[in-house]
Amino acid sequence: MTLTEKILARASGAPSVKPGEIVYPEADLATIHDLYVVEADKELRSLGVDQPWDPERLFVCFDHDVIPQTVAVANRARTVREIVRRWKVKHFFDVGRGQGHVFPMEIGLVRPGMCVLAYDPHVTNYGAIGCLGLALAFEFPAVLATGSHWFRVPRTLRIELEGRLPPGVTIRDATAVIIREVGPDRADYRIFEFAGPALEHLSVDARVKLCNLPVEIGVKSAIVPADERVAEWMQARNIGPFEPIGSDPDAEFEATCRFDLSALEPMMALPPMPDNVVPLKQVLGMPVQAAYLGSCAADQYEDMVEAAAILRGRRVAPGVRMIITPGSREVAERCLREGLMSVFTEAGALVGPPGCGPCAIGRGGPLADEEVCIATVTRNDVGRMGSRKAEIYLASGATVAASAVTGRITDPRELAG
Amino acid sequence: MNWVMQGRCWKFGDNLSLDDDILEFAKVFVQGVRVSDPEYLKQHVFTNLVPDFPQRAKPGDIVVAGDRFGQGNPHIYGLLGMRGLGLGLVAESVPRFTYRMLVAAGVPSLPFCKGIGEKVEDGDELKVDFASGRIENLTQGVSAQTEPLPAALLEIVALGGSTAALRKRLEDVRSARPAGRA
Repeated sequence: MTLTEKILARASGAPSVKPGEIVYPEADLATIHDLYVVEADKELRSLGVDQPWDPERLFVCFDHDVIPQTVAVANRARTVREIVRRWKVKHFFDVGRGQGHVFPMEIGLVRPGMCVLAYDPHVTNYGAIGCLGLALAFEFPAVLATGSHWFRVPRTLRIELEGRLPPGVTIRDATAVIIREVGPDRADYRIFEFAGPALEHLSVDARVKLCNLPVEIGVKSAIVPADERVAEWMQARNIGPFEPIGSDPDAEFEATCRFDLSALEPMMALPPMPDNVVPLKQVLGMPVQAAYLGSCAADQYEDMVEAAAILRGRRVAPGVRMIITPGSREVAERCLREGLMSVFTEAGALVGPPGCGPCAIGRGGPLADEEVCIATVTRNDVGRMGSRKAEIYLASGATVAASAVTGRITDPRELAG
Repeated sequence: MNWVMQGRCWKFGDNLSLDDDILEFAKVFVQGVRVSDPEYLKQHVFTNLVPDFPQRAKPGDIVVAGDRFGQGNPHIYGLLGMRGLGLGLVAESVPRFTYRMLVAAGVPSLPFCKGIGEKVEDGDELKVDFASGRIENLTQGVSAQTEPLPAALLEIVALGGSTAALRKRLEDVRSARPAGRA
């Protein structure tokens, strides 16, 4: 079996599972965010269900509307907190704690081998440490009521990575290439399992990038088998050992796609779809008015370091506003300890509270009509960060920082060193 | 449930996005809370493409879309709005997650009808049997045949979508157990 099939079999109480089979895995953890709680409660009550199936395994995180901008939103936030109390949610994290697809890994709540069922699609981030994250969106009340719901076991594509990224080229650029090359037809309802010698050089933060973007072309989930790098990362956070599991040597993959990281260059996704990926050099020089570093696609420590390396000793260009949201309290505190926060503030960037930031339909800094934004966010749909008449160009943290400094879309290698 | 629908063809292109083309996501919020009532959502369906779509569309009308209908973040609201208007869907292709959401929203669908775009024009009168997969273009006198949804999924659509199906599942579980137990 593949790693995903093993996790699904264990969570479904079956000795084995095969692609195409319908299974009912039970959630080791079920996750929802603040925007969905009121809706979920209403659905549950309409079904005659007062209490979720197991509050001990329920995770609720306030990461979308971190600082309410209207009284209506503040009122909803109050209702969310009432519902969380009534549900007796064990893992409730109020505003400022972090982005829900990032910090649960940092505190050991999400662990290798777990099966997490989520409302939100970017739960695939947990694949970075070998956890299977599966999203259900509107059908999530089934999990809240019963702990499970039906899934058709997906087929797995093996994405084999070799080589090392050249200087100035980031894992975000590599993942953009991967989603463009594999494409939505081959990716639809597949698992991406990452493998290959390059993983040895890819940190957990880098692996989050690998597992985040593919969901935009329709993968069911993405996963990297937990290895020594994950063990070290967990040990550094004092969150204990884990039982390593991976795909069997005779596991059946639908296909293997190979990528040589050493051959890559900076990339950019043009609006309005995240898989409209082109080499950055085709877009250089376009003026920008907004730059944003953050969202569950790029708000970890290494993303902050990547941007700070460019911003150090420089200032955001006049006429550009730059917003940065660290992914968690841990990330923010480490940035503070290591002087990155002063790099950001001295550059004139705004540092927002941990959470989803403006990636959640412009919350905390929407785009105006006709504005062009360069951002690390997950998606660039029309209206994703505010005005429907604004345009969003997706790139790495390094490219976002370089473009913020010059006021034009800029290759970060020009400013390196 | 009557699986045969007859009505006007509303023809759209490829890559219709969930969050803007089908229904602008910001319109889902009322007083800061997302609304999933099809009767509310139906007034905003497709309005960024056809501003008076909700007024002109009638129950039984068929949306015919190109490839990758409903790409984007898996927000179901536009599909619930389509159900509110009583529409059916025929598409060249649909991402798997959106396929699942069409069932969850209770929208009669033929999600993988390759070549349908060449057989219909906007405004044609169509007759579609969602149980058999047969599509007749009454205006042009041509027809097409495609794979219908599997029976288990048609059953969920017939119940009205995933919430109704879950209600039935919970009732079945409750009635199968002695009183007093969860």
